[in-house]
Amino acid sequence: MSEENNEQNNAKKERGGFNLVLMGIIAIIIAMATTSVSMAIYHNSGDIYLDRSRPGFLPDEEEIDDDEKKEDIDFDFSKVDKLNAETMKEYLENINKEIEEVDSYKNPFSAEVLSDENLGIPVETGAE
Amino acid sequence: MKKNRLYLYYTIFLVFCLVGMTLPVKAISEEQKAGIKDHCETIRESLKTVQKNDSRARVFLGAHYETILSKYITPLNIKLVENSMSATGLVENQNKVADTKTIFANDFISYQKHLEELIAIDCKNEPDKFYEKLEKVRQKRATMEQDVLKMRNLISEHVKLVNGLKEKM
Repeated sequence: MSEENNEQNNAKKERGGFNLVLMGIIAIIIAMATTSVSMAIYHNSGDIYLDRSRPGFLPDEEEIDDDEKKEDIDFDFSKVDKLNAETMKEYLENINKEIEEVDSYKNPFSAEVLSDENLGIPVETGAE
Repeated sequence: MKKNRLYLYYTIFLVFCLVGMTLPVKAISEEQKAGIKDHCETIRESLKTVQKNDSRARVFLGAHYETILSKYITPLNIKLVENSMSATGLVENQNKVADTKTIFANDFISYQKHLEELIAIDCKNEPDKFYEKLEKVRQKRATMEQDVLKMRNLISEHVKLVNGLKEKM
């Protein structure tokens, strides 16, 4: 009787182990499938190109330091005061500071960067 | 008679358009092909650097455009409405800025997709395909440059309109 019980217990243990492994495999498959779907959405939506936290695109230390040095321009209209020449002057002063920041980025997306010369491709002389 | 001439001009125009569309991208010289093959790895590394720098430019400009729109242009227009002041030009300008900001982000995605495809091309074995794609990427980059210029002009226009409003006060 006890031998039979032992056999039954062993069979249960084996089945339990198998079920555990099966559950692990199913969990891995589900995780892989959902990750693949998320990655496909992330890529196809174009969000990947707007994300600078992906490997290889993280800001350099120098860039972080520069950002930290910049003083924040904080401007808000008063909820009580009416618009007058003085508030407009203040507004213009602040927006101009912001525009100066935009202008400080020299030649963004200039064609020169992808020229044959810059990429090291021999420049066509015209006579072929 | 005049109608016939118009048809003729129209046909010539269509033929030119069709020829323009079907013409292959200018072939590259043997010297250029050799150059691409020889410097393939260096070119790809340069393109990767360009990709990273452009990503930085997009974040930098995108953040400032967002600040200008949400912290300056929109609140000013709301304030003008609250003060019952006419701001037709400014509202129109605000819509244009918002549209251009969206176009800027979408064009950047399209440009980066092409740039990524370009980097993935085996330039050692397919220099023609590589150069053809490079031309396409250059066009996309030119669009980005135009977007930046358009946005800068819209912001300048806004400042000009606000200055005009200030003068009237």
